[in-house]
Amino acid sequence: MKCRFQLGVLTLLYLIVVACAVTGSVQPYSAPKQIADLSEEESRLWHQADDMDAQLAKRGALYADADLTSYLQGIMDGLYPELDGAIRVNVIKAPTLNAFALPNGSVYFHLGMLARLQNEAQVATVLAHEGAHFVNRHSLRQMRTVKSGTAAAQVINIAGVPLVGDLIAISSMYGYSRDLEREADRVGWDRLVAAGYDSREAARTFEHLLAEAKALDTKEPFFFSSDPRLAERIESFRELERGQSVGGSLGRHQFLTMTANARIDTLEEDLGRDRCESVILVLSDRDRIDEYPPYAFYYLGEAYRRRGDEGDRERAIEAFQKALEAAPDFAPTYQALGEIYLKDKDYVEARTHFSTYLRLTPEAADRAYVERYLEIIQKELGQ
Amino acid sequence: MITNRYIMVSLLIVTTLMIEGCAQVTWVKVDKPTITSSDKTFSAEVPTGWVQKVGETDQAIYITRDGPLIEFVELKHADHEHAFPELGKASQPDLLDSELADLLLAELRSDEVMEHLEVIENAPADISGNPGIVVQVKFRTDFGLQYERRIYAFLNQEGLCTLTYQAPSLHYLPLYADQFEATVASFQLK
Repeated sequence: MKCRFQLGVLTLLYLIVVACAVTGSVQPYSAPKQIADLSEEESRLWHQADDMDAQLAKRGALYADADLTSYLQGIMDGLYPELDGAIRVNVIKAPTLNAFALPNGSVYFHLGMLARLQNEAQVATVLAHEGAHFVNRHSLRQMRTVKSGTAAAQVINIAGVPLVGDLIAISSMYGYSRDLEREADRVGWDRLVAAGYDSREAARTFEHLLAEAKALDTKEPFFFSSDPRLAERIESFRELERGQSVGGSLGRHQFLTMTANARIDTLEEDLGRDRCESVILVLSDRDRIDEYPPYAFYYLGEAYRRRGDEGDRERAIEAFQKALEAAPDFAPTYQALGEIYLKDKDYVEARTHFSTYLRLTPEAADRAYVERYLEIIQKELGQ
Repeated sequence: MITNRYIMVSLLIVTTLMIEGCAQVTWVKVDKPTITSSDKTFSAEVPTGWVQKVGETDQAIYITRDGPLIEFVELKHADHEHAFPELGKASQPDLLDSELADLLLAELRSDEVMEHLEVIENAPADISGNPGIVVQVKFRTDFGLQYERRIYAFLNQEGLCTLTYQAPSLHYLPLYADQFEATVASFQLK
């Protein structure tokens, strides 16, 4: 809690400081750069970003799916071909709505963000926006404008922001000044159109994220889950659309195929952090659940079961029954139903479901729990 | 326009709040093998010569030998209402063991450092005669140092008891693992 409090205060102070920022004249990158090509000031930023890359890797934060990473990298390379792979895309194993670019060209997509989008054009919208922060050197420009950097940096150093203790990390993840964000919208939009994507998806991406952030009443301070920041993006893209509304590729099928595992893993991550509302929001939408394999009803049922609000027991059973009909060999559904019936003291039903679970997955990681429940049931049934 | 003076005033307020938050805690040497929580809820045998953090809460015993970053043992009893503060969820006496484990792991994942933890062990356990669970996880800090945390937990009518041991996997974890198991075996609710 204390950590969140500190971060909240810092973010507030930081936003106050950047609110008065003015952008300087720094030319965008037009080709890949090496650290040796940069000024001392900018190379320091790159080194800090390299440190953050290393920290994320050391913490085990990266999502290991080479095919997915390569798919995202392909989209980014299509948006910024002249950079020749200098913008490197990675996925972070977190179910939150966020994506950010570091000054050295590393772009991170949170698993949750990826899973909530609906087609490749929407992914490209986010990547184009983040790529623009790098290409237009927004970290450097923001650092120069927050020149009194000393004061802001003192705040940050004393309180010890847990990520990298650095202004750049905060601006990358929590947003740049309004002018820089609008510039990223404009540059990103041009790239989206040039790459042949349906540019109408740009505004839709942020409308979708805004609806989700509101529905979840999210308290995450990230740029892509902040209501005012998302509303600004929508306004900005609607304005760009008025100038030139261009149809193009959606890439829906390719997106659904390439993100299939990631979307399931996001449901697992959500449940593992007790983010039941998020799972319910996605899977209770009939259109969305069709994008998932038939056993996805299990995750919906599990989210209701864990949330435990009034009526959730019935909703959970209904979802589990659908999962059983659609995917009768998917073992976790039996375990979950077994737990519901055990709590109901319906020992016969509980025993049936637990036994089926163990038959389907003899090596289940939670076998010891299920065996303990079967012992309890046996005792209750007097056998 | 925000001035440096304004920022420095804000800085002072933040610093004051942080110092205020730390001011009440002291460390005392453990000189008796049996230690009782300040609210008299529970007691346990702990290694003498370690130091105990005093003054933060009545419902927990927190001890370390070489400092919290090296190792610590925490014995805690929380009311149901405050069982999972980061999740903002309460526990109930009738939670199944696996449900308790799920909530405990979700609570751990709320800590930024443990966001990407890996579960090493998750099973039913006996805690000094109380049926409960044991969960062991490993996680890495920003510097790549791997820690492990072992937690025994059980529920009763009043709340949730957790017994935790944490140390770096390399070298330190096995050093006091047996002592921690002895502490767990001696844990008594009053």
